[in-house]
Order: sequence, then C-alpha cells, then structure tokens
Amino acid sequence: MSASPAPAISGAPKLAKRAGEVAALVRELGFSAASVRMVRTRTVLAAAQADALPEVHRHTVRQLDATLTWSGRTTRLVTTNLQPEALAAQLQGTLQHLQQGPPELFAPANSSSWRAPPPGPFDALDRVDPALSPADPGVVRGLALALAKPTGATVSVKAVAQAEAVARTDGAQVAGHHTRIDLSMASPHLTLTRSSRRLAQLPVAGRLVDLYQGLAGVQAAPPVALGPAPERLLVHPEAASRLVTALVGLPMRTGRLAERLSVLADPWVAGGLGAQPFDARGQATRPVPLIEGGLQRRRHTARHHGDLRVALGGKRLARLVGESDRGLVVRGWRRVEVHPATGAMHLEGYGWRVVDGTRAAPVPRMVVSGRLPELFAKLVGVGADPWAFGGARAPTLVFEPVEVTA
Amino acid sequence: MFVSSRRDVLRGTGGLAAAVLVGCPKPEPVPVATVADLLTGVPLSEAFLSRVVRSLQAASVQDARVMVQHRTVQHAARDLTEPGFEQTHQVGVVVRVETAEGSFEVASSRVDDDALGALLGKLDIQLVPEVVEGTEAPPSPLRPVPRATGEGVLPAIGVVGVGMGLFVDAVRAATPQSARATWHAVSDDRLTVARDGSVQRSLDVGGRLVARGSFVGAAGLRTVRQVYGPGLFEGADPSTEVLEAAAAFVALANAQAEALSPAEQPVSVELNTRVAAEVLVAMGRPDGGSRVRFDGPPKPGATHLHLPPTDSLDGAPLTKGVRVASLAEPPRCLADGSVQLVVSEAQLLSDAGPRPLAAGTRLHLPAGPPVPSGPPLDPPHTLVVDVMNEPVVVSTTVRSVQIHRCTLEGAHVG
Repeated sequence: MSASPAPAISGAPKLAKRAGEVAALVRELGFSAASVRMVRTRTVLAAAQADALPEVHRHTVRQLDATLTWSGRTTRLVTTNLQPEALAAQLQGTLQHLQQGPPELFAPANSSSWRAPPPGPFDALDRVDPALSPADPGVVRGLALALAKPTGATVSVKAVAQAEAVARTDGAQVAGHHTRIDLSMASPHLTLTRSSRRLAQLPVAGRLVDLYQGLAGVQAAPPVALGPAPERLLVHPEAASRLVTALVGLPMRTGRLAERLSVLADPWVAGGLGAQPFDARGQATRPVPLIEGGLQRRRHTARHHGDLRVALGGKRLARLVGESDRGLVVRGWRRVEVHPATGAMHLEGYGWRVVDGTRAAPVPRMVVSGRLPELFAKLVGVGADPWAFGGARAPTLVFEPVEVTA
Repeated sequence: MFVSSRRDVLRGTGGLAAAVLVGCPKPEPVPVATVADLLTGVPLSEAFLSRVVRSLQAASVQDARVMVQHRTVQHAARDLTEPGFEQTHQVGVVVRVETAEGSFEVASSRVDDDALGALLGKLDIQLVPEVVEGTEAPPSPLRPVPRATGEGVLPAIGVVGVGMGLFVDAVRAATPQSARATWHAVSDDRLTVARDGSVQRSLDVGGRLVARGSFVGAAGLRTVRQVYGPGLFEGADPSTEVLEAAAAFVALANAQAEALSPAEQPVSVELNTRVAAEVLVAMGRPDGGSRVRFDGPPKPGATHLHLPPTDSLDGAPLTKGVRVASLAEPPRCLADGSVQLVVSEAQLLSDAGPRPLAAGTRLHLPAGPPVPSGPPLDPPHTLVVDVMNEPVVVSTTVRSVQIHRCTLEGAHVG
C-alpha cells in the first residue's frame, strides 16, 4: 500500500525539504526503508541569583535522527554533523555496518505502514503556533533577574523554539514547529515552576513575585493542629496535576476510582505543552483514554503523546471554597512520594484552613498518607479550572473524607 | 556451528575490523608540534581562529574561550529478545565569555568559520578586519599546548556485537532467569582555544560492557552484575576471553546464589499470626492486602485485620528462609514503605534443617503484598499488640504470612 504524501509540511517547509533530501539519499545508498527526522532547536537559557552574576546560554542545534533498515535489520543514527559529505559518509558507514555487522546487534525491521495525521490536529496546532521566533535573550535574562532579586530565589528561564520534519522512504512527509518556555524559582523551602508555549502566556513578573512571596509566607506560618476528624480536601489545580500525573503512571487494577474521574493523554490540546500531531517516526498521534468513568483503561507511558487532560466539572476553586463549611485547601505539595508499583503515598502539602466558605488561616504543613487510588476513590468534586502551566491539565479536585495530619 | 562461526568472526578481526566501525574514529596519535597539527580534522581554518582570538583580545571581556567538540557515543544491547544498536555523533562549537555583566555562552551544531563568526556576532563581539593582501600579517596569537588527557582505541562494534552474543548465550546456557549485556562507548574529541591564544586538543575514549544475569539459588532469585572494560575484546583471541569471562560470571553468580550471605542475600520470611498482625498494623494498612508508604506512627485503637480466604492462597509452606516467632522490638515502618524487624525468636530454614537465629537479628521487609501461608484462625480472634509502644487491640482473621525478597542484617546462625 503506498502512502499518500502528507498535506501539512507548512510548519517547517525548509526542514521538510532537507529531510526529504536525506530520505532520498538514504534510498539511493541502498537502504530498504528509513524514517528521517530533522530537528532544529534554538534554546535561550538564563539563570540568575540575587547575589551572583547571571548566566545566559544560546544554543542552536540541528540534528538528524534516522531509523534505518536494510534487509530486515534496523539501526538508529543520531547526528548533529550535517555537512553533506560528513552525513553521506556516516550513512554509508551505517549501511556497511548493517550489511557486515553481526546479526546479534540489530533489531528486526518495523513493518508498520504510515498513518497519515488527519487535518484536525494540524489545524489545531497551527492556530496556536503561528510562525514563531525564538525568545529574545535580553527579555529572558531580564525576566530571570526581575524574579531573582526580590525573592532571593535561584531562577532559571528556558525558552525553546523547535521545528521538526519527518520524511520516510515510503513518501510520507510531515513537519511542524512549536515553542516552549519553562520557568523555575527555587529556594530550599519552596519551588515554583511554570511552563507554557509562549512567554506572553506566563503571568507577568510582578504577579509571580507576589505569588512566590505569598506562598513562602504560608510555609513560614505557625504550625496548625489537624485531625483526628476527616477533612474535606480541596486541591488547587497545580497540586492536583501532580496527583493525576502520579495516578495515571500506576499499574492497572490498583483500585476502583471515583466515577467522575476521566483522564486522557491528549496530543491535540490547543496550546497544550505536549501538543504534537505526529511522533518521531511521522506517525499520527491520537488521544488515548487512560481513565474513563473511574475505570483504568491503560497505564500512562512514554508511548502516549500529549498532555494529560482531566474531564472538567462546572465550578472553579473559589466557588468550591465558598460552598465548603469546613475543609482544607492544598495550594501546593512540598513532597509527593508515590510508590510506582503499589500506589502507596506520602503527601506533604501546605495551604489554608477553610471555615464557613472562606480561607481562614494558613496551614504550613498537612500530611496525607495511604494509597493514591484510595484517595481518588474519595473524589467528590471536579473543578472547571484546568491547570494551564504544565503538561497535566487537572482542575481543582475535591476529596472527602480524608484523614490529614499536621 | 553457530558459535564456532562467530568465533571465526572474532578471530578474523584481529585488526579490530576497523572497516565496519561506524562513527567511532580510530584516533591517530598526533604529536604536539604545531597549531596546524592540533587542528587536524577540525573544520576551522587556522587563519580564522587566529582572527577570532585577536577579536576576543580586543573585546571588553574578562575571559573567553572557544571549544569545538566531536563526541561519538555507541550503545549496543543484547538480551534474549531484543538486540539493538544506536550511535550518536554530537558536533558543535561553543563560545563562552565572562564579562562584568555576567557569563554568556553561545553554541551551534554547525562547525565552520562562518558559524563561528555568527556566534561572535551574537555576543556583540566585532571580528577584527581580515589582513589585506600585500600588507604584513600580524603574528599569530595561537600557540599549541600539550595534550592534557590521554587517548585510546576502542574495539570495533562488530567485534563487540559478536562477543556480546557469545557472552549472553554462554550465560543463558547456565539457565538464568534472564541475561543481558550492554555495551556503551564514548569517544570525546575536544579542541579548546583560550583568549590568550593557547590551543589544546584532547581525546578521551572509553567503553564498558555491563553484564546482568538473574540466577535461582538457595536464597531465591539473585541478580548478578559485572562490568568489563574494552580489553575484553582486544586480546589475540577475543572469543576465548569472552567465553572465559562468561564462565567466570556464571561461577560467581552460582557461588553467590548458593552461599547465604545474610547481609546481602534476599530471603523469604514467614511471620506467625501474632507477628504478622503486628507488622500489618505497623504498615498502617491492616487489611492484609497491601502496604502503604508513610513515615508517621500508626494510629492506636481497635483495628481489624483480614486476609483472603484459604482457597485464594498461593503461598506454600516455607522450606527455605526465615521463620519469625516473636519480635524483640515493635516493627518499624520506614519512609519508603519497607518495614524493619528485630527478631527475638526466629529460625533459619535451609536444606540442612532449621537453625536458630540469634536474638537481635534485623530483618528488612521490602514494600510488597504479603502472601498468606498458614491456616486461618477462627474469627474473631483477639490479640493485644504493642505497636510503637502503643497498646492496640486487634480483632483478626490473619494467618501467618510470607514476605519474599527480604534482607537479613547482622545475623548470627546458631
């Protein structure tokens, strides 16, 4: 079956052309099949501390990642040496190696035919990814300094612009591009991270400083006695995202979860950090249900692309707090330990006590133990406010009753 | 026939089959004589590098250096099911400068004069003008520096592949549960040009074979790991050396699997009903089916313990391992979900029969569900258990349980 050419290479046409040329060269040299992935990555990284000079790194890397097959034997070549003569020599050497090397070394060929990405994901990505240029180094450095000086935190801001194209010897071609920015503010007691597709989508520096100082204040508040009565736990979307990420990584049949919980691995989320219409071999990606109505469908692994997306409810955190007579808001986790096999957990968080629908007092330490699936069996509410600054887009989650200790 | 043909391959590659070596260039010793010698194989011209150094010296920077790197990584894996081979070439040029405003680094995977010039432009460093033809050229600021690191040669990947196959098959013949060999080799070729004009070239080459095999012995499943250097494949007859190494690996694994070394060997542990109840309560999940991970004290109070009915049991009476009758101290649940016991009365069960284990011996129970093994008690059965010095009343249907892959510490066998 011959694959039709991919319709969408407009995201990185020059790179797609280059990948196509390499795929043609591979075919000419005598390989029986190949998928050629060309990636161009431009990175700006700024690191700053209040009492030290800042560092700025700007890296531009072009890389070829080729899966090459000859006579049922497959190998992989990754190289940044893309000078035409050097590349041809490396490919010829690889072919010679496939032909003359011992059979013990080579994986069998992957004979799966190409699945063309449908137009939908491409359109979705194009809407959020107009032609983007890498972030300005001066802006990135300025942001790092603006965050580091007032907070005393160690700040790193990393902006990446990446274009990639995949060309296969069966004629398939896809290409796309995306940007990403990751921000981290860290001190011994508090780490704040934010990620998004574009710098403009992040909160402004002043808000981040206020938030960091506010959360540091919560952590420095005097200890509050908790228990023994079970609590209503309202988990902020940022903190809920960490729990959902840990939950979907657990093995199957770890327990029955609340019916209102559904989680997808979704590569089609508009503006999602993990949004990508095709994988490293040019194959179309698809949303994959991980948990449906409380039932685990499959374990989340690196094979699943995209963001974790939680089916939403109807209310935001503020309204859920307002409707709670008594409870605890978990704003963040200082420590999340979940055993990857058993789901046994130890969670150490901080947040506020809720009394009569308002945040009454900061709670610097609250500890939840048990098994994570059992916590999700107590899920009684799902918010409408998905977390927008990470790869897991969980909303506010409400658990009840939960035993919490200080 | 297969093995002998592979041995032939190894013997026939006395020159390490450099022809099939891809991406791991056999380095030639380069005498440190001139800058041109040091630039051999580097796609930068000496004249342009000289201009770059003069530009860095003219710029208002405190320190600066240019680095060119060619790093080759080979990764080959061979186990019973999935062979695999990958190689990576990373080529790049980096310019790093220190100024009064901070540290700045620019890098590119394109290595040529134009790319290096563009990197300087990103740092706002102006290139000094080229020497006009007919005028006297300034003296070159470049000066060679002797190598700081050694050099080496790696065996050809073809030789390594055949050797790994021989090794895994030989180990597999000793009936391990699994066998795997992984080859990882790195060749790192670096050129560094400092602002003072010093030019240094260094080459680091290294490779290692990591072998893993799982064997069943007296103490249960035992995984053995050994690391070999590239010399394994560089002798006059690599096949013989590989097979000798495999035989030694198997012998070592057998010796370790049969000899019960209390500090290292995983053992199975059987706890009687009372101790099982104490341990399950200490775990904080007294339903007997699973464990939890926590580092807080268990809650005092009435606790119910339940295990599955007898017909769903998959545990068999313990014949090898440790049987615990009583504890010297309450069980202690650690933060990683494991439990530490200090025994008072216990027996070590082996082919030689049961022997008493000294009081005070510590047992470390890993996270994982216990397997019920003994007959059920008539429910409800009430025990008084002292957990973390808190009296706990337990109504239980718990049986004795087995926990596998435990560790004995400080054991003294009577």
